[in-house]
Amino acid sequence: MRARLALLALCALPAAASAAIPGSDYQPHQSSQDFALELRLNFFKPEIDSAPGLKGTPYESTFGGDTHLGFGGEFDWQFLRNPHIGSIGLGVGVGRWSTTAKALNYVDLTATGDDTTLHLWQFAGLGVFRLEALASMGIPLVPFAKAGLGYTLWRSYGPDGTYTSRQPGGNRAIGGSYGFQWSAGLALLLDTFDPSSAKNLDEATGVNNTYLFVEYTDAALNAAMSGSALRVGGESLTGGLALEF
Amino acid sequence: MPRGWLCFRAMFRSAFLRSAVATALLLAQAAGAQQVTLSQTPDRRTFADPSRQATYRSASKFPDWINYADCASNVLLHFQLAVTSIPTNGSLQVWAGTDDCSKLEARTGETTRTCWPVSGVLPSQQNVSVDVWSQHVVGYVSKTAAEKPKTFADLPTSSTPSLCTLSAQGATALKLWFMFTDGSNNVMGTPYQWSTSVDVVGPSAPTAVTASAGDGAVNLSWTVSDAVSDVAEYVVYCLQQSTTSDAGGTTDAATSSDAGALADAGTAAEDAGSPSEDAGTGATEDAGSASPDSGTSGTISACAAPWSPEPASPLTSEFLASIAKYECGRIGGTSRSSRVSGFAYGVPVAVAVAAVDQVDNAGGIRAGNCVAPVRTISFWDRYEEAGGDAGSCSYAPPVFSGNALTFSALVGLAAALRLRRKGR
Repeated sequence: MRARLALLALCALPAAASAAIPGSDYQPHQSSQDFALELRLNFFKPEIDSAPGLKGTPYESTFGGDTHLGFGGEFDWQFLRNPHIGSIGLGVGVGRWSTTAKALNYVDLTATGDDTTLHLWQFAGLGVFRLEALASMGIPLVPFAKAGLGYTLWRSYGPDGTYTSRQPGGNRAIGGSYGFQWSAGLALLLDTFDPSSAKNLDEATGVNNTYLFVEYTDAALNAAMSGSALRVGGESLTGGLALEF
Repeated sequence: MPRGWLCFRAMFRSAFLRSAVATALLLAQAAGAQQVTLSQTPDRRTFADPSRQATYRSASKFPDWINYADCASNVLLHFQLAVTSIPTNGSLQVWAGTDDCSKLEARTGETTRTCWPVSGVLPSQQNVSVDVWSQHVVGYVSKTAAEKPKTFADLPTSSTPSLCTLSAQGATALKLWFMFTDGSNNVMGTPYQWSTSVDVVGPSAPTAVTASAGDGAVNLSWTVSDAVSDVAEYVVYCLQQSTTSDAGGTTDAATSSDAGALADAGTAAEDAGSPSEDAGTGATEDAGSASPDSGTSGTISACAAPWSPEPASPLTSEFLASIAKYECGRIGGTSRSSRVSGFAYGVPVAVAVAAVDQVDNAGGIRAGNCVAPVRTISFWDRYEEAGGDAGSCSYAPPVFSGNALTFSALVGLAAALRLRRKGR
């Protein structure tokens, strides 16, 4: 549902942005452009409960069905670029996400004073395409798409602050899961709203363009180096600030 | 053996002994004029009573200061002076004060007196021992000039714990002045000064101590009033109630109270995460005061404990000594919560928290509600019970903090910008 809302938002953004174009005198950046940096906030809920063979919904029963906020960053090298078409690049992303809930009483499943947590450290290696054709025509929107490999390290702590299992011979609550992931998003070019400041920023720091963006991601992290994977991928909606330089 | 000597020896033994050793060099310059020079030996903190060594405060807790416990038990401050030349017309006096006690007006002025006598001897040999009662030092710190003793005869000759009751929190720095004086009360030579501080008022007890049940544990939280200051640590006390008259804090019987729940589930290890056996040690006097709970609620109406009802402030040394065996944790003064583990499931635990300052003064103790630790189920428990078999990776992931990510991003940005500029 949230993903559908995100796609709707992506579709609605062009109209809103077109209406916001202050004029047609905007000129794209002047200095060379090779990199992009994104600062990201994302709403995410891992799809742990979707694992085949799992009885019940251990994640949702513990942490609830809501998404939780994470943060991260991405750095892209735009090795191929045409200002009138767009850029192709390679990127690496890192992210941090965690959720905490009260551990439940084993007998009556009421909340106790102890916490149980799940921590994720998300990494990704991505190919990135940014379509700049609209921006070159004076429409300050840059659709983009990403695809690549995601790898997430995860760890779950129990009430005693450890990640050991209580099951005889049980696994420790620690591991890594990897798989394919893709993203699609839309960036709003902020330079058009204050071209002179954008130019000054370019001259002073080399930052060519500044964007606000929204991005939908679907990660299918269903594999592990050994044994079964904890499905810590899933859909997420990300927003943030991007800089090209 | 004289009774007075026995009393003195008893008092000497009961107090922990602090000592400062100084060397007094008296150089006769001319007839009737003595110059007194005192120098400090490298190891001036010696202990005449070895049994006090263990209870002496650690270096981080200002052992040379006088706290409430020191004062209440009237410990002796023991100084040993080596005198090379004893003045014929002088006596060795010890004065305490926040100002320069070598000045005559600081010792004799009716309205300007800031110093008061604490000890004095007429040395007959070159090795002179001087004992100062801590109560004589503490008792007059906050008194007015008129209230301070003028002579040694004004000092109480027996232990007077009421002298230890001050109102202000925090430390008051003062010095003991060792000096020879002549018949006119004039100082002969250069006095020796020993610095100390008096801090006998502990921080108020925390308020609203709330306990909640955890997995063989108790989670505590509390608040503090704005007036509380100089809190160095919070000391947590725990007493798990016994189910038999000889429980003694062992957990075997207690853990069985929760066994039914585990058996029903049929998945968890019966003894997984079972508390260690040190829980609630010393609980025998409260045996039978509470029955084991099934662990369904974790909250019990009442527990028996030495701190219930709460004693009046300030806490006496005797009371603190009596509950020392129930201490189950210490946490820094900025903390407002603590988790204590190692308890049996289903057996109520009485808890209390006291705030202590940098010299271990405790102003009061606050009891929390009584709770029974329960067996909890975490996310991982649920996942494994649901048939999940992920995990067991031997690689411990690095812990990235927000700062580390931000720093990495900035470094990457800086490197990229530098690369760009080089390319221009």
